[in-house]
Amino acid sequence: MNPLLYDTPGPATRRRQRRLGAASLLLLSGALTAAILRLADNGQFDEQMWQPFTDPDILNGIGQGLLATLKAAAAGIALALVLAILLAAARLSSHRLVRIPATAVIEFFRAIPLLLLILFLFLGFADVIGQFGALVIALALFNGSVLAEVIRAGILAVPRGQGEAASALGLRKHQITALILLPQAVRSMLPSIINQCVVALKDTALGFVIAYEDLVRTGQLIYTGYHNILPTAFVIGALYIAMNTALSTLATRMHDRSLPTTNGA
Amino acid sequence: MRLLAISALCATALGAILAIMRVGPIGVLSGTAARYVDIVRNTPLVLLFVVICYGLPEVGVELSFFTRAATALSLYTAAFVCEVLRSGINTVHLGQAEAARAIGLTFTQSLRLVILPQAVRSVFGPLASVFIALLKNTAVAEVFGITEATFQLDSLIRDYPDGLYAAFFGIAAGYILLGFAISAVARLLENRWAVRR
Repeated sequence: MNPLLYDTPGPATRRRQRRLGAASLLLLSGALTAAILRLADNGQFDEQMWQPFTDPDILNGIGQGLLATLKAAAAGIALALVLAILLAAARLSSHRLVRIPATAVIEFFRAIPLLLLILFLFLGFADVIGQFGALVIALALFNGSVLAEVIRAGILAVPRGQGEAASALGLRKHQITALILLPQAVRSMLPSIINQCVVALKDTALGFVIAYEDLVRTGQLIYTGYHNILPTAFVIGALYIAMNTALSTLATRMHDRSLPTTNGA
Repeated sequence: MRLLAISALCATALGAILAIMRVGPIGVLSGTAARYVDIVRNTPLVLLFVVICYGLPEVGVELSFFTRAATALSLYTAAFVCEVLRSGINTVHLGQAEAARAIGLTFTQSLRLVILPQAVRSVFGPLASVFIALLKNTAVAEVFGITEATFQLDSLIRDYPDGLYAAFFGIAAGYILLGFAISAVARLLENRWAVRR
């Protein structure tokens, strides 16, 4: 972590730290036990609470929910990336007529709650685009605007000499952006982009307000049927954590890998 | 608005405690804080709301709805506050920590007197983004029953179907104004207190 915040402990300090560590361990495990006892008292560990999760139909339903979540996330992210590249390029444009609208669009969609956007699209256009469309378009607009800022920052972080060398070679402005700046920007911003994907994946859960049958909605259907909120939330939560941890790990690994090259690039 | 203010306060307090646990020398505490942050950051807020708003009453914890919503928002936001503060602590010059130790300050003293004041001042910007995210997350509380701006949209539309656009842009403008207010305050604080390096 940050070992320079404290001295390498001597024997007395080490003993004190061990005592404090043991005390806090005791406290934490005490709190945990109390919580578990409380859950047990209220019958949260009873068999019928967990029974549904051995039922193949329910497992199938959860699988479908998982698939729906992944589908919405993937479609949303793919659209968002395309939108983000266009918006970032537009915001960096030298034409004021392109730059100002792009800035307005980015700032607008970044500032409003995603939930509001989903509701608006659903209530206004459900006949045309359906639940899936409303969710995906809302995700794309919101994450596209956020990612546009990420990519813009990435483009601005590319050393100036790169763009200057490209224009000295006679490339046109759109060629410079597409061939020289964007690839380097995307590469250096890959960890942030993946982190935004985690956010998008989490945000698909908001689709439950419009009854999109994703993981959370499936969970809702299960616990209204079996009255087992906490076990269901536990199972669904574990699934989300597994997916997102995998993505975050990928981001960290990318970050570690890209570190040495960003200096030279 | 009240939900936003209370959650922001609780989240900051809890986030600060978590960040201190995280950078401290006691393994158990820093491990706990790290796990907490990992778990909360990877769970959708909606799920946390389900657990706290519907789950807690099941095990006999009876709280008002407002308290439950504020708890969920605070627990969620605290993880992000913790990460921001930790990155702030990491940006403080190593020499500062070394100097603090050299003049004989203990860990708590050096953190309280030397490191944290500088760390907090360097993270006003990111902290403001966390609060803006919190502002937008108050919208999630709506669907769990709290009367709040987005909820008004819902009922407005039911009454006047033609007013959808007006309602949407009106409420969006409200959120944008509040968001601007938060970042304006952050910029003010930053200009006034920022550490110049």
